[in-house]
Amino acid sequence: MAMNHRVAAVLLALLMLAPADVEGQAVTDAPERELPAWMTRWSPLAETGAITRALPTAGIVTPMTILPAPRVGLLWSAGNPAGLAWDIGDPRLDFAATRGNESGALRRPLDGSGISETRVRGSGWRSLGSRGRGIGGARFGQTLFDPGTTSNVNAPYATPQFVVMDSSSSATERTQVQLDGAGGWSLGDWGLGVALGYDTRSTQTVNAGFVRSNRAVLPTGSLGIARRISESLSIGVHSTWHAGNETINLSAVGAAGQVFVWRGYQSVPGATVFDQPFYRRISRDAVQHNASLAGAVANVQWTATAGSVRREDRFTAQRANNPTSDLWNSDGYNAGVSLLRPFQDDRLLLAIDGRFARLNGQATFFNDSVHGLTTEEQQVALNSELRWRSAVDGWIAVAQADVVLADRRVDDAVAARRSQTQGLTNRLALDVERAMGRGWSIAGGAAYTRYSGTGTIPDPAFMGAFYQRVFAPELDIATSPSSATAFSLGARWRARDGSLFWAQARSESLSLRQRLDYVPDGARRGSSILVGVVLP
Amino acid sequence: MGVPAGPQVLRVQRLGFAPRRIDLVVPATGTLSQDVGMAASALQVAGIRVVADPAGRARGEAGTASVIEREAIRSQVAASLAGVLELIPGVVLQPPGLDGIQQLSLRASPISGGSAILTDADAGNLSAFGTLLVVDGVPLSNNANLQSLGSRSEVNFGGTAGVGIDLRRIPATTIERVEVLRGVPSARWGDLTHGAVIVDTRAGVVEPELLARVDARTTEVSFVAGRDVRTAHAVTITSNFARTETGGGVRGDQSSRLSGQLAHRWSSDAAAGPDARIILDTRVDGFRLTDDRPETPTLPGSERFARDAAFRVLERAQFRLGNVNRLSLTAAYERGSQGYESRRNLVRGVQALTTRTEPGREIGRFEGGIYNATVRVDGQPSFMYSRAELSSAPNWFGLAHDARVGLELRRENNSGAGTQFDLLFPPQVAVVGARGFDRPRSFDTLPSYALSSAYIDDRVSFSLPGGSRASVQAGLRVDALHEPGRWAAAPRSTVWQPRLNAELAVTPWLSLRSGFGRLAKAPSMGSLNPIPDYYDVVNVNYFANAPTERLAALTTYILDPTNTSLRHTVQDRAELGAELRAGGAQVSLVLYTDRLTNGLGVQPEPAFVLRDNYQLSNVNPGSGTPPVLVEPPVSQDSIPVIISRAANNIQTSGSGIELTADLPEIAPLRTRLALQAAFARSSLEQDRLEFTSRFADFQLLPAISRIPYFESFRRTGELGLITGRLIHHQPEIGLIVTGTVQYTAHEKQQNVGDTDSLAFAGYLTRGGTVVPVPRGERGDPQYADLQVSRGTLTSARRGQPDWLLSLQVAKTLPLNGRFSFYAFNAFDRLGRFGTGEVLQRQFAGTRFGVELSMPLGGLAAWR
Repeated sequence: MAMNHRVAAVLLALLMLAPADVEGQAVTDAPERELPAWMTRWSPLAETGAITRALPTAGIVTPMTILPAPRVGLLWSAGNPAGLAWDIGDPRLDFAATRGNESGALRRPLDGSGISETRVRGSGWRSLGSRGRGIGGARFGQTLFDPGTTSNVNAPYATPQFVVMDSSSSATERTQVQLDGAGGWSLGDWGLGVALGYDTRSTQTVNAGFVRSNRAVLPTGSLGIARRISESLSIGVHSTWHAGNETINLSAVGAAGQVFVWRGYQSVPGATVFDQPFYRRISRDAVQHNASLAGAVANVQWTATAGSVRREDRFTAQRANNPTSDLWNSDGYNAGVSLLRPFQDDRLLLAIDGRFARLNGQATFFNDSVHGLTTEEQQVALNSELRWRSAVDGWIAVAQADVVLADRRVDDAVAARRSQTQGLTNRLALDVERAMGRGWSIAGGAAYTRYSGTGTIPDPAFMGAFYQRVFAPELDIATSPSSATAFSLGARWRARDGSLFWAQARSESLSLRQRLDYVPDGARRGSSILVGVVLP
Repeated sequence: MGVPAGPQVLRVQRLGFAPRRIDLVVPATGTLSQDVGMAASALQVAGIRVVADPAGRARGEAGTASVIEREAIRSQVAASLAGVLELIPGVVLQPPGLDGIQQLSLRASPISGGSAILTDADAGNLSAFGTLLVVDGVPLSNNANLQSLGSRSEVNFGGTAGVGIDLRRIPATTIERVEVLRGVPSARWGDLTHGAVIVDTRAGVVEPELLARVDARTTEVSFVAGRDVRTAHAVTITSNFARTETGGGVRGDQSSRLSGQLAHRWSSDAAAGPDARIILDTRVDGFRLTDDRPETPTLPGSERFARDAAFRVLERAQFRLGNVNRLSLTAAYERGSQGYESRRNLVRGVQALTTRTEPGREIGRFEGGIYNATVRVDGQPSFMYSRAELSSAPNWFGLAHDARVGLELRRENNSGAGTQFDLLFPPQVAVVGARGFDRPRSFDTLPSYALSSAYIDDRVSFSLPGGSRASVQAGLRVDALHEPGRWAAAPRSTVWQPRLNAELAVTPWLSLRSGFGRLAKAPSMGSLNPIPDYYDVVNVNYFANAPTERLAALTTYILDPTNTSLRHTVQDRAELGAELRAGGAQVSLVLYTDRLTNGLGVQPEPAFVLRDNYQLSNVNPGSGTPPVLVEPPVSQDSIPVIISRAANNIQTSGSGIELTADLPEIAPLRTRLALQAAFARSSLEQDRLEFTSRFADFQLLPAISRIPYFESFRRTGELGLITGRLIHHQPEIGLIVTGTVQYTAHEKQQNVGDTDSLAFAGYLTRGGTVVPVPRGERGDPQYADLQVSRGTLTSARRGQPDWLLSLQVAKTLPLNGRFSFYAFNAFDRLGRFGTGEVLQRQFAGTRFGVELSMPLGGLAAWR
């Protein structure tokens, strides 16, 4: 135990001394990259009714060799909490801390420029009595954007086409906490599960004359029921509810500023914020229903799921009891199939996951009912993982190969502009770990992502300055080739009681493979130090 | 153990384990066995209580109380005592942090606004002022707080002078237990009108623990450790630092607190616990609380700072005299240091000013334009407290008694530089106003304030035929406020306060209670020594173009608003209650009513000052010399003024219902519901004259010969709050999730009084004479000039029902650590915007944060 403390102290010291540099947010939005999708799919915090457009990344940041082997089932593949009672076996508890930094000229206009962040997370699962199982996690993060982003909203590159930005580039600090947990109970052949999630963040300019604050809450919940038809077949349904409020306040304390509220591709004049503060509130409700099947055939575990989603976002500027609002409505459906096949007495494992999602969105403006702004988005993703564990010499290797095809159309009849973009992302990643004796092992990893984009977009040369400044860079990047690479090096120590202490240094970069007119030359680089412990 | 029959609480403590609290019903005869399971963390123990005990009793008290134990305090994730007190009925939830002054208004509802030109008393402030705060057996006092500029000042800062103690000074992390006496306290407690909050800080052997909390605005770090030193001594250290960014990100404002305490106990026989022959408790504690509002680039010249600090030392000696008697001697001294400074840009037209601080006439000077008014108030309040108490638990006439007799002496003082500002650049532009203006005032000359009290109290329990049990606590207390400074001096105000609480345990599961009594609170030092009213009457105002030719002459009058007959505020209260314990549920229902008289207010007293008018000679424009004032004055006129005299002229009444229910756990869901509902109705009347906002014109314009006055109206408020806590507990994984929903079911405020143009009660002449007009004559044409709208009364305003949810999650960590998350207003509900007759009630935005506590006892052997 004393040894465990010493290792923990060393890991903590490593974290404190780490150069404040690494993995990135422009390269990604970090919390979503900490764990593989199958480990978070059960969480009701997963985005619903919107597709977030991220820059190409080189995959998850947590070393794959310390993660449990992929699992398939109603819980892991379909996100149905009713599957908890059957899908969870041995308990697991892990904690991790990350210190990272990211910078570089390459970014979209509403991405942060310089980013440094500290994150701590804990998660685990275990049995609750004889019939129940529980899973849950907590994540805390503080992120400093310096120089800051001009975006006032937390997700400027998502499906809704209402975005607020301003002229400030002051440093901004964001504090975020995410909590999620689920409980599932088996009652004979029936399973019942409930999951709750809560995501809240507060973003604030730091020592700025033109002050921006954003606070957001996202309470979510899902309820599922499942039934075992036979030993090899289960069926389940679950519904997930999302609500949320995001409140933006701008005020001029030491300096005036300009705010831009844009809808679709419309060019908007900036409004000066001086003596009157600026206020926007975005409220959302989303409901998703899914039906799923899970079973096993010839040593292959499989899950199939399909569902529909409906979401409404309301944008208002009025401080009143019943404010008028602009509306963004999205509806769509999704489907997915997951397969898991063990080989060689479970020392070799192949997991394949395929997903399809389609989403249509449209705007309704508060002052008229013209549905002149619509989006159509489709995404197909195929992820595979091959995990191998040596029987004798302590090698562990995990290889991943992913393909994502995304298609997005925006038709803004009001602005008389439309765009269509298609992106193809291919990713390969390999993590290797080798035992060195006395519980120690070393690990290394590499990942490469290649993105190819095509599409039809309004020619920026014939558009106004606002379009060139705000929309063109993103569309340029989305329709151009780019690549991301990542390398990592780490060490692990396994204590006799089964605890695993690990540390990793990681660097990642993103670069364009051709020069673009509206995107600054250069790359984006990030680095991070991660430490963690996995408890049995 | 000889434990009385009936409902009892078994408390079990052991170092390294979470304390347990088990409700028991002790049989009248025989032996009761109870197995007690213990765990390192309370989160891993079934039955953990994270809310106030609905049927709890404060130690030595029979009246209605809320008892909040350590685990409930810890689960509350509060920055200060105020956050802990959200566990009692009727308290509005607030975001955790050091934002703004924090007070407790027991059993008071917000009431409607009032007068156009006079400062209004408020039922909430009266309640906060009348709520006694006792820490480690010794009251804290805010009576000598003089950090106020009064209502005349146009440069202001926040402060708690005349109201309750700022609860931010007490960190929640260092509190072991809180008892809130909501009902009729025993005679042991005095200098209160609305109840008492009894706080025990952490002391004794405590495993070292480090706690850190962070949210987007607040950072807090606490450390607590206590251990035995040899056998007879125990030493405990608690410390806390907290800082909150209070400017909402818009300004750089912040509040911070630094506090620490050293506790020592010596016992002649440590193994005997509280039954040792001699126990000496020593506490040394201090705090520093700051509120900073630095200037901003857009508003240069405006800033304010407040520094409150105090150091307190107390000694409590307990002597066991035989088997049933105990003598307790307590002495404490607290010395504070308060420094508030505020500055602001003011604009004035050119006006004649004088720097005179004594009555009389003086040649003045002209000043005008924009200036930066700076005012500073430095005070050093001190509080000396001593108590001797003899307690005895004899068996007289076959009945078990618990009797106390005690004597208390208090002495309060304030010294220091007091209010300071430049007389030529005062914090008040309107120097010719209805209510005069201020001068700098040193606190060094103010007399001390001495109070003495004596009390006797007995509690007797007995069985009744049929198996029921009864308990009666009766006592009498007398509080005396002495002439300045000396306990030996004759009291200027004395209040006898009988108090009675009775309880009838009809069955083991049903108890009925009742209580009534009189409570009293001494006036504050600020009311006993009000700021004098200065009037600078302009006799000559010759403003020539050339500065050297100008002449101003002013006569200074000083009117003393001191009220030498000011006396105690008194409240009579009564309550009825019932408690039910059945099936694991505890329900408590209390109906109460109270009436406060002699409340501290301000009586506007009409008066006048004389103005001499002079002729000038040698008026030669261009001469470069001012004219000469020709004595004697050619005429004289009167200027009506109002003396703001401190007075016992407030009456309030309150009534309400409090329901507290702690329902049994729904086992399959491992969830329980704790419910609190409070309906409070308050009304306030102030016996005073009131005027319209035209009074300033009346003062300045001799053509206006009279002005109507009105009788005070009644200001009322009602508030119905329901607070439900849904508590989900998973002991196996050390997880507890609490969702707190506060539903404002009812809110109403209304001024009750005449509103029409015949509402005036009479008129005031320029000579300061109050002339009543009979109601039947007010419509006569001769009073047409008095038939004006009062202007301040509106119809009833009601609040819309609304709710907010707060969330708390606590989870054990490896090494007995603990992680907590909290989100105030977790759904970020906005509340309601006010419109017309709808009261505005806007909720503070979501505030969330995390807390991490880690015991450090494993680092070294700790005992």
